Amino acid sequence: MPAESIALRTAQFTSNQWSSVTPLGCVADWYLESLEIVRRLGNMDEGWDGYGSPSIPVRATIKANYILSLVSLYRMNEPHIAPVPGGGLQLEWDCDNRSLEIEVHPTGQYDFLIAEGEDIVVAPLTDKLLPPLLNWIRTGNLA
Amino acid sequence: MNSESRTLPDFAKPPVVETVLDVGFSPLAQWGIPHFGLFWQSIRDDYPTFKDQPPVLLQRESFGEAPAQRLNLAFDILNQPEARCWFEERSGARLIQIQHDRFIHNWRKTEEQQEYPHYEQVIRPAFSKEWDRFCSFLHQQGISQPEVQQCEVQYVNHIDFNGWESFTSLVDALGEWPGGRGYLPRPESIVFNTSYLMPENAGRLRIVVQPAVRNNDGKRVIQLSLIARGRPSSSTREDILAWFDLGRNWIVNGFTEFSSTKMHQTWESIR
Repeated sequence: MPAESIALRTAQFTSNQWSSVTPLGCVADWYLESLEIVRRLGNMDEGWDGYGSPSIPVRATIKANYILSLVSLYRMNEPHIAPVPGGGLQLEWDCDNRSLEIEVHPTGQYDFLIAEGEDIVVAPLTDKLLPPLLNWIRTGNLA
Repeated sequence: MNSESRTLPDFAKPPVVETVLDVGFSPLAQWGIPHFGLFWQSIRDDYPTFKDQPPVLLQRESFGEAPAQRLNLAFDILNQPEARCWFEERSGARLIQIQHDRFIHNWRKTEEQQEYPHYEQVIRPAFSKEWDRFCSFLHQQGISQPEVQQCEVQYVNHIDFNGWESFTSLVDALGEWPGGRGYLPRPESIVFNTSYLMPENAGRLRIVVQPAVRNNDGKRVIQLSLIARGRPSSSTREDILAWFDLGRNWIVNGFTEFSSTKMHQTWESIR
């Protein structure tokens, strides 16, 4: 198991708190900057894409922040963060010929897309799926 | 409740966002996965939401005896429970966490409930009621009553990056922290973790200051956690509550002494 996974699992094992925070100091350097990007995207007015797309709702930015907080505990490169027409947000990582996209819908629900060459898988994302997906984008192994 | 708690420092607007009353006990040998569902059935009217969680390990405090060996830690990991369940109250402000060696009762601040419901009036009686309900359930199921190993009181405070200029204005003790007067500038960030042994090894208070980002709104905060842990005299409800009272007294007095007078004004000190 990668050291990052152990660190995350240990953190989960030792918390009896309900309120959820991401302690700074054990997160990736890009984390705060990525929150700022999400905040800026969340402040965009309706029609930001020139085609009448609605603004990105707060619940979508909260979910994106939550995913970023989980990802920031791993030694991942910074994601490319972009708005999605319709009011969603997309987080994307590329490595070699592999690609991982997490799309947060305006409802706050989220899906992932993984692509390797011509192969593509799209499915709903859960917290439990995130560690193997991040490991896959970094190393090519899903385990 | 002891008389000391009635004279404790108090604030009109304390920064507390969560309280945790946690009872760790020897693993219940007869407890199995079906009991989570059966217990939920018994509290479902009040706690309609259920979530499964990874188990939480007991942070065992040692007092004078030899520190825990790596072997013990390995054993703890091997012996960890399979599951922990969250049962969330309808209001979203209270939570019961159960695993085969823990009973945890949490209160948290919500949009609807902004005001801290004080320990004596609400939090302590609510714990007492739910602990009784849990023990009754165990009795009905023919499961032995918990042999309590450790109690924990925790107060989690979130302090926004408003109303104070630097870490040294947050905490008096940091006034002498290097920086701001000579070569070093004021510290950009400080992580602080300190512990205090209670007299006669009654327990230990830990104070942890940690810059963090709150996940539900992405706000940067200082998380100031005060955690008191120790072993009650016995496993009776009265002794558990007596230990919680002691731990909470240490937390309130520790919080007041640890934080600066300037911050007390922000939190509207009453006494």
